[in-house]
Amino acid sequence: MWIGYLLVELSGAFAGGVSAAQQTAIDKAVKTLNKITEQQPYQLWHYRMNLAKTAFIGCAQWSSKPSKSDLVAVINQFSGISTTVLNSSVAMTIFNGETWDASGDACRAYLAANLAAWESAEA
Amino acid sequence: MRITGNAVVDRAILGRAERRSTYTQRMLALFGASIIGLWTQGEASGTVCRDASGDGRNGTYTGVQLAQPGVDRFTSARYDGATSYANVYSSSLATALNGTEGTLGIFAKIPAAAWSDGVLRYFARFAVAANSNEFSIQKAVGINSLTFQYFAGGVGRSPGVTVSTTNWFHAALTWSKSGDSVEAFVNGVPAGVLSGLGVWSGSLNSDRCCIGASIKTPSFVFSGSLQYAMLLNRAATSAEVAQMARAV
Repeated sequence: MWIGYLLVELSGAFAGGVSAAQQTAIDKAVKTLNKITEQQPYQLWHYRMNLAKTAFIGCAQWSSKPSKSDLVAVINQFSGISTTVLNSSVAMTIFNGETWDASGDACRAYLAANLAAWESAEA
Repeated sequence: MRITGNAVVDRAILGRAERRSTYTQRMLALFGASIIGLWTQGEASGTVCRDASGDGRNGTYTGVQLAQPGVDRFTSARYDGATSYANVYSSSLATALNGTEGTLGIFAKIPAAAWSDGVLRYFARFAVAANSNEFSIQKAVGINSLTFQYFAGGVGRSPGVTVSTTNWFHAALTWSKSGDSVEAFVNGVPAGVLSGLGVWSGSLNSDRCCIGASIKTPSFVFSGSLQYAMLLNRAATSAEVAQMARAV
């Protein structure tokens, strides 16, 4: 099991940002990779979109660090978008670290370096 | 509790009972129906952020780590500075909120790295709309600084305070249109006061009543632990805020 964060950047088929329907499909898809062993909120799949809706950061407990092919496979199932298109439209980065804290450190550093893209304009 | 009629024995019994009373019990005794939300964040698991006020204004956790060491013998919730928050909006809360008179208090523990990360992070925020009618307690962008924000009718009154502890501390904001005062407290001690309040209007926005973030997107996520977020429908007195800041 691994609990940590991933960054998924969307382009191509999702150019201009994901639609509400696409977002729902992706949410349901990635949720299937969540391996739940206890009902701690940080272990349950959850995510945030960037302001342009062209990327999301998610966190969950996984059976192991998810791969791009894992992600593409489940999104394909839920969205109907072909794996060929998804492979060229999805980029995935794992915020590395063996623990939730270490992966979180990498995630927080990324967010701090990219505030304008991720944090609400109302502060 | 058994009262014996012996003054010495009874004082000892009452003293033990007082020592055993919990923070929640003390706050309910102190403020009674003035409490419109008391989210202790002491759950062991699950996604329900339980309201201990007795009004059932439960919220929902996303991404927090529960059952973490707390300010007292109970546990707290840890927010990850990235994706976690608790949404405590309810229509019942919106109805109960008094935007013209009130108090927001919360215990927080912030690690050293977060005090100096240069990122705005919200302890809690309740808003009708940004910079018009809202109040919040924030870790400001500046190192070791807090902002206690209150806007009414577009008029902002936001005392700033310098704090640097990595231990648990209590932060509270009171506002009173009738008293024309917005006051910040740290550990029960007055830390800043401003006057010239605007006129509150509107009803709380369902996306903007969060513990640990500014909005349920989420954005400006808190990094550290939070416990006992409490909302009152009146401005607490200085003596009452001092009681709020006493965890044990």
